[in-house]
Amino acid sequence: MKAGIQFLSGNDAAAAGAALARPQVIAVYPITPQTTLVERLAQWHADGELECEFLNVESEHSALSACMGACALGARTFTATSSQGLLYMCECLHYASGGRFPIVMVNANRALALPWNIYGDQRDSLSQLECGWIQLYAGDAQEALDLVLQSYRIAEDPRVVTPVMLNVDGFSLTHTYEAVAVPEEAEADAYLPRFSPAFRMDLEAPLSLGFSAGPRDNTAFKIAQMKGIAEAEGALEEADAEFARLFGRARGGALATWGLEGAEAVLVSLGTLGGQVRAAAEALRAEGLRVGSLRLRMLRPFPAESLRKALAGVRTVGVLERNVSTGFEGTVCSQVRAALHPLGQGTPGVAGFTGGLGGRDLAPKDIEGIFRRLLLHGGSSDNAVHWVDPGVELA
Amino acid sequence: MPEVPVRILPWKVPLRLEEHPAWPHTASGRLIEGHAQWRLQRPVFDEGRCTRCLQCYLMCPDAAILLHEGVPSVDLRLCKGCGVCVKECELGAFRMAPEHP
Repeated sequence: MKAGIQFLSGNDAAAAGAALARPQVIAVYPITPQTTLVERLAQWHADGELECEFLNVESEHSALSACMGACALGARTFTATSSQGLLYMCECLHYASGGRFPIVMVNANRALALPWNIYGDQRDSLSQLECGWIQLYAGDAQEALDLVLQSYRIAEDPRVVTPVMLNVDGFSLTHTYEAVAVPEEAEADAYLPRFSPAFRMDLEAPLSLGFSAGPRDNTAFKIAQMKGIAEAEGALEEADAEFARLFGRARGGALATWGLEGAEAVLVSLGTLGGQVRAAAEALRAEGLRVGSLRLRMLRPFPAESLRKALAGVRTVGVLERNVSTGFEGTVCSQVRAALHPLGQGTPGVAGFTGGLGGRDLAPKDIEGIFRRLLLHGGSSDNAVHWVDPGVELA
Repeated sequence: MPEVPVRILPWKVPLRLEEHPAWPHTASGRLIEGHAQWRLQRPVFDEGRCTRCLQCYLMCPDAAILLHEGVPSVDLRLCKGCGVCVKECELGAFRMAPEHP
């Protein structure tokens, strides 16, 4: 992996970020569309460029379990997965967050079976919002690299001590290429010092790891966990400020906003959809329509206060996601609705849009259509899901 | 078979959140959640029948069998009264007696 400007895919960039973080243990199981990320790391390890224990485990459940074990011994760890693999990890996800193991994982967002589908959408990570991990979403390959490094800063922050799941959209980010600035190893080392674990076990100081806590003690552990993750938004801002100081570029923390000033309608999105939403907003602004874009980089902890500050005074908020909570509405839509509710009388109307499932592309006209609908009709009076370009006529 | 001294560290139930551990890991030997109060019956050991095969020591799920100079005994702070020792001992050196006769 060479430093400087490189032409990289999203997976290449995330792999470069992971290698620069110098994890001592990488435990992974390959799965489309995360596979090329693992291949890069495995190649660098085989070539002697990446010094670590590289564990080719037999399943995702084992991958995360191995990371927990290594982390308990004070090692910095990395893993990556996608879709069915993330779900296979599900039990361990709660274990890792409850055990406060500051593991960093890249998840390549992909649809869930059935019907079987290997293409991109966000149902995998959104189905795991309650697993206690910090959730970040990258919008492009440079952001994927930068956020891997920032993820270690916040995961290992002594106030936080919580694992991070960094999401990159399957194919639309993992397999598309762009020019990416890869830091020098020495620069990355300056940004990310060696892991200094909050707890670790060794032969001199054996630990009883993961003990039981019954009805008497259980709540206090969950409150402590909640306090830890609540610090992550501030930790991300600090990590970003330090990143900007060392590398000359900032990501911007939990929210990426464009055109919010004077906006009547704002469309909220995650990941690569954010780029499309911004492009549509720019086109419509050029026509004189007062629209803006808000991309959520962080979904756990949910940046509710920041969202209220950003969207107070906006008349209508749309939420576009490659996801639906079957039987209700879009998960992100519910989160946004709930976060805005305390604004009281000035609460923007909210409408939820679902599209791009199973890798279906959304076109600029689809997103411009959402903006026009928001300006014309305002928020929904119910929790209806508005299907965007579903590919069939809806009655 | 090395003899491991069992040292149970005191665990004071924290009353304030600041005193509470932030993660469920602690120095080995601290008994956070004792199971002794589950016990409805307790094992009674007959040393005369014991051949020091140590199956009880190996099989006890709560490591409640201690060894003193190779001789087993039951640590009732750790025993939850499951009776595995009775099943495992082919020589009948263990029997269960009611906890609250």
